[in-house]
Amino acid sequence: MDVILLGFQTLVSPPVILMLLLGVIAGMIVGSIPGINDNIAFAVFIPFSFSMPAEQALALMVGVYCAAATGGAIPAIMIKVPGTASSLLTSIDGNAMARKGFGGKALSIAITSSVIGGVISSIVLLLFAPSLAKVALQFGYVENFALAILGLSSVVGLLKGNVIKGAVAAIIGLTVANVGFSPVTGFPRYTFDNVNLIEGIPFVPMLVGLFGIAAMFELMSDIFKERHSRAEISKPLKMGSLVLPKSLMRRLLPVWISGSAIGNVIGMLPGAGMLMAIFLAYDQAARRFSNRYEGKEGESKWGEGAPEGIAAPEAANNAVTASSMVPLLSLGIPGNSTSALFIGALAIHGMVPGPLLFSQHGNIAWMIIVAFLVANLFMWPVAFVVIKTVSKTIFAIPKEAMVGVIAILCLMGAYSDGANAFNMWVAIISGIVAYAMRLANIPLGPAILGLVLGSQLESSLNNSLTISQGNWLVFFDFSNHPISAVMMLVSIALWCVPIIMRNRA
Amino acid sequence: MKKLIVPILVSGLISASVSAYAIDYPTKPIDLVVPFEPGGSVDTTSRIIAETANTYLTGKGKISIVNRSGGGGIVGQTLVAKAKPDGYSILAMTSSVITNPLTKGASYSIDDFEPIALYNLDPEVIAVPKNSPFKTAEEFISAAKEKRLNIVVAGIGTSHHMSGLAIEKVTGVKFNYIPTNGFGSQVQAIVGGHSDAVLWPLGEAVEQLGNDGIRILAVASEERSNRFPDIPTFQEVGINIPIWATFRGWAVPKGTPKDVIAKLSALMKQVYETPAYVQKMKNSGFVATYRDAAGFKFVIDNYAKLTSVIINEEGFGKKK
Amino acid sequence: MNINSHSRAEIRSITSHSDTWTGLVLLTIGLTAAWLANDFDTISRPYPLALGIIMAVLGLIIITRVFLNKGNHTSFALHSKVAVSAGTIIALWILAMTNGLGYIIPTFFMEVAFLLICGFQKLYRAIIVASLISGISYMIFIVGLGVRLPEPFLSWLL
Repeated sequence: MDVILLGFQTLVSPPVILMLLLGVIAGMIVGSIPGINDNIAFAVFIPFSFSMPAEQALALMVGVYCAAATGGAIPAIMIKVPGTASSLLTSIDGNAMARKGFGGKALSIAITSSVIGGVISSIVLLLFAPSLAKVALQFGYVENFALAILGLSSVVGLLKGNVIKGAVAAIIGLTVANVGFSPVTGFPRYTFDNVNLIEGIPFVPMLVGLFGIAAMFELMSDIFKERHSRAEISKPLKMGSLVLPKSLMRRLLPVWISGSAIGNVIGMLPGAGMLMAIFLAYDQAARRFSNRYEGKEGESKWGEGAPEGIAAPEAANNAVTASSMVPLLSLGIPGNSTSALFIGALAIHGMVPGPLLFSQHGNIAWMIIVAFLVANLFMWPVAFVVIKTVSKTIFAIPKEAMVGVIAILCLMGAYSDGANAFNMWVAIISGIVAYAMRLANIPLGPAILGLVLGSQLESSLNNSLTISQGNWLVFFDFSNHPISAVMMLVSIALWCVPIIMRNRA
Repeated sequence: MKKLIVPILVSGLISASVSAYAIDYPTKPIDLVVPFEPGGSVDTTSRIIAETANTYLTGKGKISIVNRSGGGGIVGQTLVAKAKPDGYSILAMTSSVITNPLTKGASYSIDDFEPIALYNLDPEVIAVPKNSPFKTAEEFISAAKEKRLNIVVAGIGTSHHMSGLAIEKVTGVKFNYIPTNGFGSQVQAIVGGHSDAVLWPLGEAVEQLGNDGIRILAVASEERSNRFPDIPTFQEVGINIPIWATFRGWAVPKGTPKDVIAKLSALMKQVYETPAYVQKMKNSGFVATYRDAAGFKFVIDNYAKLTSVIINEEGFGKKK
Repeated sequence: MNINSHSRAEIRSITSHSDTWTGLVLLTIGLTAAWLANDFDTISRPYPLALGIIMAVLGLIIITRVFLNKGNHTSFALHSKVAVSAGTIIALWILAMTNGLGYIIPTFFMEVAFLLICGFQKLYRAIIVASLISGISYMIFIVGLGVRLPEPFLSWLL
């Protein structure tokens, strides 16, 4: 308890707390610009961090890291372009809700869910960081493979009706993930001798294209259609009230808890990442929604404005931000690429994450942890201020001008990831592909999952088989790999239960 | 319009002719191109250097870090190889510059660069999990002769994988390689005891050594490290590889004026002689070194010779 | 006679069904991927090869379902117009910017093009809005976030 107090004392000095607040504001704004993510924000900021004391620099980074994941939801809801990858799924139900004139409600759900997810996860971090860190070490190649399978199985929840096209989507994602050097032998696959492809298709530009550019096409075709039918001139979207009714809060409470729990667990595992967490949480929420609310009076369909579809991924992604610090601070294992930047920032100030950090620089280590809690609390008021200003501006822009604005945001976002012109071509081609997929009724969700999990699936399978000397049953070995065996059984259940249910009905 | 262009052209000519004499280089910001994402070891060390170097540079000619990631470093490396050789584009050069043209089809060649100075040499180590049965490198090698051990490497065809192949060659053992992408996943695999050993650069292993997660069995350098006098060298434990080290340094495009190179090389020396810099590098887990252009070239040539043999034998980058 | 015309109409409805084309595209991509995978080394081959074949098979299934009168048809006409026109504008912008025309000029023309296509009636209004977007985005990305653009061939071009 003393150490936590020490961390708190370090944090509450005025310059440090000011930096944290500044970070939250900056992160919120950065997150709300598509393509510009916290990685780029850190790269811009790191040079300034030299001249700052370590605690100020790290407080600012914590603020940016937490708030960027939340800020991403704003454009996801308003214009269906996720500001960061973490808000991919928020754009589905969130934007649908906004189009119905409840943009304010959607944003409110997103922010409240983010804050709750973040706070729960920071408290977990505060209480259990060192002991939870051991969980990450339990995950070897076998467990990672089982985790990838579990992630892919969450696709089932995303499939509605057309199973074949869902499978097509997953296969497309897995195939695209094959581009680049083979993880097993280093052989270049589908690279066409282009060096930009040897580490695979650049991920950030691809996401910008799949979501941003595709959303731009969709907006354009809406405008064209309206003009064709000479319907009434597009009336601007209504913001609606920001207030959440109590009954909705009560209804979302279980979703928040399960979303945060999923985010907490997944965030601790290196290589699993934020996307896996939001998909699993989304899947979980989809099941709950279809069991309890779907088809009832006054309820929209899943994917067309269900509040759970916003709450689950937003709670999960903010839970990941804090929990990804567990293995980082206690073991020096970065959970994702952004938290890896913390290693860089600590290194610049002469600190190395790991158990030593807690003994040698205890005040800094605990300050970071406390800062996560405080940052999430700051986020709530800041988010509403940003929404009032940013979102008002977005609503004020006429629809016709929006097309060009989205285009330039997406292109610059893709380009600035490494200042590489190739990225812009990736973005536009991915945009066209995503648009074509939508027209052909092929869902995008399973494709993204395949994309994210593809290389992990292949390399962890190969490495597991190398270690087990070719024994495939290793994944079900309850005595040596209990975690893997349980995850495999859960995956099988995810596939079988809907089939059994359908046959019964 | 003409009025606008002419003075610019003239001033351009003047500055061009001046920099040809390199009397007042640098007169504008120098790009230090880091061909990787921010936050990695190359990025961190480059930023520490730039910070110190900028205290010596006055006026507009300060160093700014430019991250140009993509294609495993090739995108940024190619950019510098093709940049104007005027000293305003410096590459944060790593050993991958040597192997990328051979194994990954990069379009430049190592001869497109002119080395300036080396600032960090990171020898390869063999590390095992803390609770591993192997207490010494000898035990490790003799166990490897009995059965194939599982060795984590950063990827197939990387410097680390090649160091493993080199060990196989001189000791006659055979390893199972477990290519594991990403430093986090490698730590997880080793500290969590999911694999027998890892081939790492010393700089990265030090972090985990401090955290008491691993044991380092041997280091591939000519002499024992000052910091870790207990760790034997490869040759002492019977692995006949005198040195296997990845390196970090500065390089500029071929054709950069000689006095610009000399000036940059001197700048790096000045940085190296700053105690605060050495301390900062040490805190971040890197040993600051300095070798001038000629010394750097020797290291590069040596590494190229070692790796090209293995690359040819294994046929990396060639269609099988 | 009657049967004949009926089946002809049916054939036409099959060839014009969107799912037929989706299936064909998947079949082609799947087979190409599998064929390319055939050149990979023995260890890296099976996984992408299998994926390619599965994709081709799924494509075939989708085509078969059209014959069984399943699957929903969607018209591509309007959407391909959108994708082609927007794609061309963006491609021209990328080419202009990467080949040394700077940021402001290509962006301005791209914005004007989008505004006119999307139904801005008056040119002067489009020009004002386009200049605003170009200027503000330049301030955000290049000045604010320090994004490095390719060198323009005239040094004074922004």
